[in-house]
Amino acid sequence: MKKCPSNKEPAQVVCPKLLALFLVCIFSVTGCSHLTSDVGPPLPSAATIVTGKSTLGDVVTTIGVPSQVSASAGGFVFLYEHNEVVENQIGISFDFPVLRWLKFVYAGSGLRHEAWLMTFDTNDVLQAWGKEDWKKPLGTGAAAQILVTVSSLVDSTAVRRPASQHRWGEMWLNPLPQVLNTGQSPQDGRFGLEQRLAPTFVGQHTLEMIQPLPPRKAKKANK
Amino acid sequence: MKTISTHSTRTVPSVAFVLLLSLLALTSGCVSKSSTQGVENRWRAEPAPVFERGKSTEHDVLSALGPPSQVINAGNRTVFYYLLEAKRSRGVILIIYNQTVERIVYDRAIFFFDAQGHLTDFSTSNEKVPLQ
Repeated sequence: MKKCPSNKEPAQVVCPKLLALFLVCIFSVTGCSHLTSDVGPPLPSAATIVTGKSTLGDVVTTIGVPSQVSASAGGFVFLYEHNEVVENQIGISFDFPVLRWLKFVYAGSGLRHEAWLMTFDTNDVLQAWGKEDWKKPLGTGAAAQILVTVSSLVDSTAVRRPASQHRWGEMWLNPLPQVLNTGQSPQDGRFGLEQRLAPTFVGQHTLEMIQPLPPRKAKKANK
Repeated sequence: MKTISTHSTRTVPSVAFVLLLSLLALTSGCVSKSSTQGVENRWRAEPAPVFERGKSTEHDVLSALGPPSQVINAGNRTVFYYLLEAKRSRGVILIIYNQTVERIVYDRAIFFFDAQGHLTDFSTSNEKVPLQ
């Protein structure tokens, strides 16, 4: 704790204003939350695969089943993904007639993302592979909530949405522009693949004319 | 003797009452949620179905595990991809401090077949969801 400039004894120089502020903070801080979401298994730190030697069978045996598989012009493409979202919220409330049942919350969220991509030739031999592993802030949010509410304030539905394989087949019931674009769809398993965080309104998705939804609607749509 | 017995009858219920209240207060904000989505993970059955590379066929896999989540046509090759997604969430809501931990587990199995429908490679994921 900081001390006020004073000539008094050290035990007496704790600034009363700072002490009061500290006590107010301690008693008004409420509704602090820690929310974590771990999606998929973490990837191994050291890969035991060799380009030009390891086969498709070696890879699925040592690393496991990939998150996504797709046919490619020369064989197969595998994508392994692991995502971890951590959200910290700090909330305060005030002891006034109505406000005491509310909390004012500020949230910050971070994402750790790991991905490996591998390509195999027609003989099932590993042709190339690349990986990424990074951490970055996912976003921030603020809200006034009822005191007992605990919910995420940062939209992480892109990371936490159900796997695309669940919608295989059902995708034929999508709106017409999306169905007509299945020849380019990275969801199908025949025409490449994409990471979870890829936006749905660029690249191969352009012709599907999917407009980005505001976070609240996107959350509902992904449920 | 009377004094001792009076003392014990007064303290025991009050301790139990306080313990009960504490337990209620601590557990009142506990949240547990779980959901699953996908196929039945019959590859975790006991005994587990046995497949052999070069011998087992598409028919063997389909009859043992049922329809896959996804079938991928890769030229003259076929891939069966099985997926069970389990979402588990645990939380403690204590008003002053709250914590939730969500874990999404993917139990997967993948099978590769040649043009004749014979199994060339297969694997199951290291992550497991118990078969229910």
